[in-house]
Formats: sequence, structure tokens, C-alpha cells
Amino acid sequence: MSISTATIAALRYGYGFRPGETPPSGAADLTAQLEAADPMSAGGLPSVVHVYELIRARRDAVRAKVEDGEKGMSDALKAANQAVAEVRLPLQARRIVPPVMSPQGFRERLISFWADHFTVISKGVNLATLGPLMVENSIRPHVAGKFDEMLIACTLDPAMIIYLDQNVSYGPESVAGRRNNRGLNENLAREVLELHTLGVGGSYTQEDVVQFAELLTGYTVNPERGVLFAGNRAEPGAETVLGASYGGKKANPEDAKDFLRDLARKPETARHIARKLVVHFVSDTPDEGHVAQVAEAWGDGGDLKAVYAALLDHEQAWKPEFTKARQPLDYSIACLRAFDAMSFEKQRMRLAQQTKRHLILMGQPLMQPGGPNGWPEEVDAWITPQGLAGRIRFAKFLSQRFGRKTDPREFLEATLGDAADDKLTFAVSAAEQKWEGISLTLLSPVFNRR
Amino acid sequence: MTRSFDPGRRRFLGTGLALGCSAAASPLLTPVTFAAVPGENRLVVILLRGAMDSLDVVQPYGDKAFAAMRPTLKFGEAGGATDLDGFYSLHPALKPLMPLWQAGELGFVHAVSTPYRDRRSHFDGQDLLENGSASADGTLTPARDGWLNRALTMMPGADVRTAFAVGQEDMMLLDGKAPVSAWSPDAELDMSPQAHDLLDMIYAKDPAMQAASDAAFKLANEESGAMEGENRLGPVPLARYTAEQLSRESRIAAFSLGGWDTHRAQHQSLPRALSNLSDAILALKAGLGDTWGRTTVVCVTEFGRTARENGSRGTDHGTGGAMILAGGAVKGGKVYGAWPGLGEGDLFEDRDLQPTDDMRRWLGWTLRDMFDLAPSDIEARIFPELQMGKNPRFLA
Repeated sequence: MSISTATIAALRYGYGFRPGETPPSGAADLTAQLEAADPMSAGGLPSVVHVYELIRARRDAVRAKVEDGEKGMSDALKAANQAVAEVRLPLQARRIVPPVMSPQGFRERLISFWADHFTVISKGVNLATLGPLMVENSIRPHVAGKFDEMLIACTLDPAMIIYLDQNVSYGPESVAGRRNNRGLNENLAREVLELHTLGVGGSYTQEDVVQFAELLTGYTVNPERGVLFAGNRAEPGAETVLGASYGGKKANPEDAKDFLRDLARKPETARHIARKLVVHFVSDTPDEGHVAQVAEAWGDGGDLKAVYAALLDHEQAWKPEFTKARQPLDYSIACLRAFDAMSFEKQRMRLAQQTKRHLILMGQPLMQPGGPNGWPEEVDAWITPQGLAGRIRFAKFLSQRFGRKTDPREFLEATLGDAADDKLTFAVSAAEQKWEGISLTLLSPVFNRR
Repeated sequence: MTRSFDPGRRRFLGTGLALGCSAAASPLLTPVTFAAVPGENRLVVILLRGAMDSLDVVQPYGDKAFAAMRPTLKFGEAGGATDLDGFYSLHPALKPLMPLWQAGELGFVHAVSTPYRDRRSHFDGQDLLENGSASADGTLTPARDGWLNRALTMMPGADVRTAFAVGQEDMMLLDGKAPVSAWSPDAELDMSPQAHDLLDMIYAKDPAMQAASDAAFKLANEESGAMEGENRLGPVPLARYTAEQLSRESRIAAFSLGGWDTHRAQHQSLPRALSNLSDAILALKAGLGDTWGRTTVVCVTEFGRTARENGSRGTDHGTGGAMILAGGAVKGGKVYGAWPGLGEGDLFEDRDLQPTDDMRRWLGWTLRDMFDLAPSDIEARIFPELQMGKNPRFLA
């Protein structure tokens, strides 16, 4: 049995097949997705200031309720919760609906990769909304552009600034720092170096972390204006990071951006991200030649289209063995596509909500990994008894709902093409009920791997 | 509900103790590892993930340099802490443990660390803490397995299994609606026997999926778990369940508690983490009854935090930290460890508490005294390049 390049393109680099959609036939079609316009590009996103208004209105309603000694939910609080949810739920759903509906599966997979690379644990009143908003504002527009621009956008995104404590970091010698007796917080600076750019093995020192944190001072988020550079928080004087000097006497918001641009040019950054890409798409134990080839395509500051092309232009990228596990979010999107379950617009939000709950049972609550290092890649982390029990349950839920009248043999053919082996073909046709045969397709090893 | 299952000894020993890195992948799955070994002694290892600020927990209020480093984080009498020995005071959130201290069942080891230096990454630090390697830069031993796991291979007849506490409260918090009822694998895995057979058939060539499937169905067929009907998340049920297992055939247990990464507003965040820990220890004691007398609880963290508080009333990643020891088998009522001082030139890289001892030495002696492992084996096979030195004799 051999699996065709077209099937590998759809399963390994996309979210699988969707009835009625023309699948990619190989590398050229995948890269062409990134040249075309993004059909899922979002308009009408809420502004950060608007999100804050809603959150503050909710907080005020909570306070009023407490002051009035009311038990349970007040009407005002219910309304305020509702207003927040009306903004939050569609944003969270955008982590599921566009990947299901977009014919550009590779683009959507890349957005998901970067959303994990720049992890913001999206829970709590602020971040549950601002986290998925960051994906739309700071990742989606840059996914086929330059890494340095994405890095700057994500580092200075309100969600990241809040998540990694930049909003409470002050230059110790700054006007506001001295007046309020506040100082530096290293969290964002360390994670940018360790996780987002050089990697933990990179050649930076503790002093570089401190200097970079000083360089970042000034950037904060404010409910009235969103992200801003508050000069009175910025540490005065120049900072020396990784051997180069940034800034001068007067605090300038461009200084931190200049450093981020230089960081994006470092060969260590290129290697770190090249490895992550190969690990994510191809193998938990990547071929070193493959990693090196991707890193060499980096160019000045990270030309992402060239990087992805190098990822695809390697023998290992098209090996027929499916050794990676589909993570639960990928898995549920692939399932929803197999049924074309979201073609009715009216069902989308509800189905996205249900999927979100199933993701918890499958072990991957939406945008809530354990730490800023994001989700693990290893097969062992995903093919677990609990995780599989969650998948069995999700497969049953969808099969009973969408698959009662579908012929399981046709479903198998449409969903896995030539990746289905004889045993699976037999098992699917031998099931007692249609929905069970369809479940078996969704639970098969090849559908759970890529 | 917690369900226990046996994923198979081979796989377990192959991929590291469930103290393993990926086992904690999901914030909603709290794995607890249990091992049955010969003998009556009990060991509970609690990993405090996120780096506990040892200086705020066991506060060196007798060190004159300390006050200047902690202008807003109150300690000692001003912070409502309890004096321990005239030099150290205990964070007020651990006050419920004071009866243990007075009974000699609570002790600390200060200024210890793993060999990990400089980079101060949580993830490397935690991996190293679990792996027990001697590397300063975070490199793990070639097998990438856990030190406790290696110790088990040296105990004849050891049998390992993992239980998972599956959290549900968070699911409801997610969008305010109850999920599709509680997770109930027995109900949800009610595939027809024939479909189950077909599933087995298609998993025959994929050992990982087959193992996961076997365990899931076994788990679903078991009688209801020990924690059925209780509040399933949180340290108390976790500790109760652990105590129950240790009262049966298990002798060693390991689990993690989070919430220690206190970069800001530490006066709010640290008490929460400490209360959880205190509740867990008290629940272990209550659950173990007489067996508490033969129990050692060892709490370890990946590294300490900066000696000086940072600019947002918190502390950043540091080096030297502390271990917490509890249990009837502990010679407590004492803060062990050599104090390095906080004065000029005393700090590691002018920033962190200087470690004066290798934390692994204390873990090594725990294994020696509780399970009679030979120091030469511990040095050679469990903690590479460790020199056990003299027994600090902190176990009764």
C-alpha cells in the first residue's frame, strides 16, 4: 500500500478532506494557498478598548451586586455577562470555524502553530477574550509574511503584555517607577528569549534578560487607549542586550522593536523555529538535515513563505509513515470537516461550543495549555487512555448526529482516500450500524495520526 | 472521578515516571503515580511546579540583609509569620502546619537546589528535577527517565501504576453550562462488543493506540473509583485519595501542585499555593492515620526565586530554594541546611540565594533510609555524579 502525495498533503499539512472542496495535490498547491488572499481574514473585530469597556461594565455590575447584598445573579450582571460572552464566544469559535471552512488548510494549520508558539493561556475574564483576539490581530495577518513583524506584533499585543506581566513592569529609575516604588518584571523578556526566539539553549545570559526587560519598560496596556508606550515608566539610558546597544537618553518606543528585529535575525532563532516547525509537521525526532534546510531558508528576519517552502521541499516531509499524533484540536476540526458539519451557518456557533467542551475531555482545553511553552508535541502526550476515551465520545457524538444515513464505506473513502488499509476497510464495512462504521473511521490509527 | 489503571510496567519504565514531562501536559488531568514496594515505609513526593519562593516561606528574618531586599513583601512578625527558631519564621499561610512542627513532624532544608544553573527556565528546571541529572545546563540523562523511576527498578517487586484525577469544575467554568454530564467512561464507551472487536482489529498494528484503548476500556469496566462523588479537583481530594492508596498496597506516591510562579502580587498568590499545600499535607496525615508515623512527605521545587523582590511586588526566577519535609518519619522541628547569608557577595550572581547543598543528596538519603538502597547504587544509578557525603539524619 502506498499513500499518495495528495493524501499526505491533505492530512499532514492540512485538516484532512472536506466534501466538495478541492484538496491540494502537493507542495505547490500548499504554498499557493499562502500566495492567495485569506478567505477567513476577519473583519469587524472588537477593539481592545471595547473589550475593556465590557469587562469594566461587568466588574461594576459585580460590585453593585455585592454592595446591594444581592444573592445570586443580578439582572445587571446577567446583562453584562451576556455582553462579554457575545464578544468572547465568536472569537473563541474562530479557533475552530475558519479551519473547518477554509480551503486553505495549510494556512490555518500554520496559524494554529504560531498561536501555540506565542501561547497566551486564554482563561480568566480578560485573556479568554484577548487571547483569541491576538490570534486574529497579531498572527493571522503575518502568517505568510515576515517573522520579525509577527514577533513584534505578538510581543506587544495586549494579551501577551498582560499574560507575561509586562503591564506591571517599570524601569526602576523611571519617573513612575521611582514615584510608585515599582520596578522591573522579567517575565516577558525571559520568555521571548527562551520560548519565542533563541530557545532555551540560546546564547543569552541573565544580564541579557534584565537588559531586555528594561528595554521593554514603557510598554503597557491601558483600558482607555489599549497598548501604549508610557515614557514615564521607561528605564532611562541605553541598554546593552546580546552585545549591542539600544536606545539613548530619551525613551523611545522604537528601541524595543529594533531589538526584536535583531533578535529575529539571529541564526539561533532561525534554528529554534525551524526545529519546532519540523517537529510539529513531520516528526518528534526530526531529521537534522531537514531542520538545517529550513533554517537556511530563514533569510533576513524570517521570510516565512521561503521557510515553509523549505519545510515541504524534503524527502522526509513526504514520508508515507504517519508518526505524529493529531492533537485534539486538529482531530476535532478534521472530524467536523469529514462530515462537512459546519456548512449550515446557523449551526456553527453551537457546534463550536460543543466541540470546545469535548476538547476538555480529549485533554486539550481550547487555548489553555499548562504553561507559556504551549502544548507538547510527543505522541505519548496525546494517545492516552483518557484522550482516546474523549475521542471515542466525540466520534460517537458526531456519527450519531451527522452519520446515520451515510454509507460508512463511502465516508471512509471520502475521509481517508488511499490512506485506508484493507483491515480498516473491512472493519468499517463489518460494523452493525452505519454510525458505528463511521466512528471506526474517525477512531482509526491513520485518522488519529498524520 | 479518579479511575486507576495499569498502563503496563514496560511502557511506564520506558517513558519515565509519571512524574514525566508529558504526563502533566493537560492542566485538567492531575496524574498521581503510585508504586507498591516491599516494606511498610511510605514516601510521598510532591512537586511544587513554578518555583516556590523559599525565602518567603521559610523566612530568614534573623538575617540583617533581608529587610532591604523585601520592602513590600512583609515577613517575620510584621508579616504575621510564626517564629520557628529565632532565625527563621514561617509564612502565615502555613500556620495550620504548626502543630506538626511542634510535634517534630515538619522540617525544612534551606538553601538547596538541583545542579541546574543560570538559565532559570521552568521547563528545563522541572525536567531536571524529575530526571535527577547532574547537568548545570539542563541536559537530561540519556534515558530521559525519572529518578524515582530508576529507584524503583532497584527495589525488588516494585509495581507501578498511575491514576488520573479528571477535573470537571473547570469545564463548567468555561462557559457557565454544565458539560454533557460528568465524565463517565462506562456509559460513553458502551460500544457494541462487535464494534469493540473491530476497534481492536484496527489497532493491532499501532501499539500506542492499542495500549491506550486497552487501558481506557479496562478503566471503564472497573468499579467506581475512590473519589467518586467528591470534589475532584483540588489538593484535598487528591491527598485523600493518595492516603487511601498508601493505606493499601502502595508505598510510594508522587504528584504535583502548581501556583508557585509568583511574578506579581506575591502577597496574594503565594498564600493560595501554600494553603493548598498545607491542606494536602493535613489531608495526608488525616487519611493515613497510624501509618503517618512511617510516612515521609518531601516537597521539592525546580528552583528558588530572586532574593530581592521585583518591581511588581513579586519575585523572578532564581536559584537556591528550599525543601519541605513532613511526616511521622521525619525528625522535624528543625530547619536543616547551611545558611549562605544574604549580604554583600553572598548571593549567587548577586541575585539569588546561593545554594549550599545539592537537593539530590537529601533525596538520596531519603531513599537510603526508607528503602534501604545502597548509597553506592544511588550515586551510580539514580543521581549521576552525586556525592552522598555524610547522612544528614533527618529521618527518624
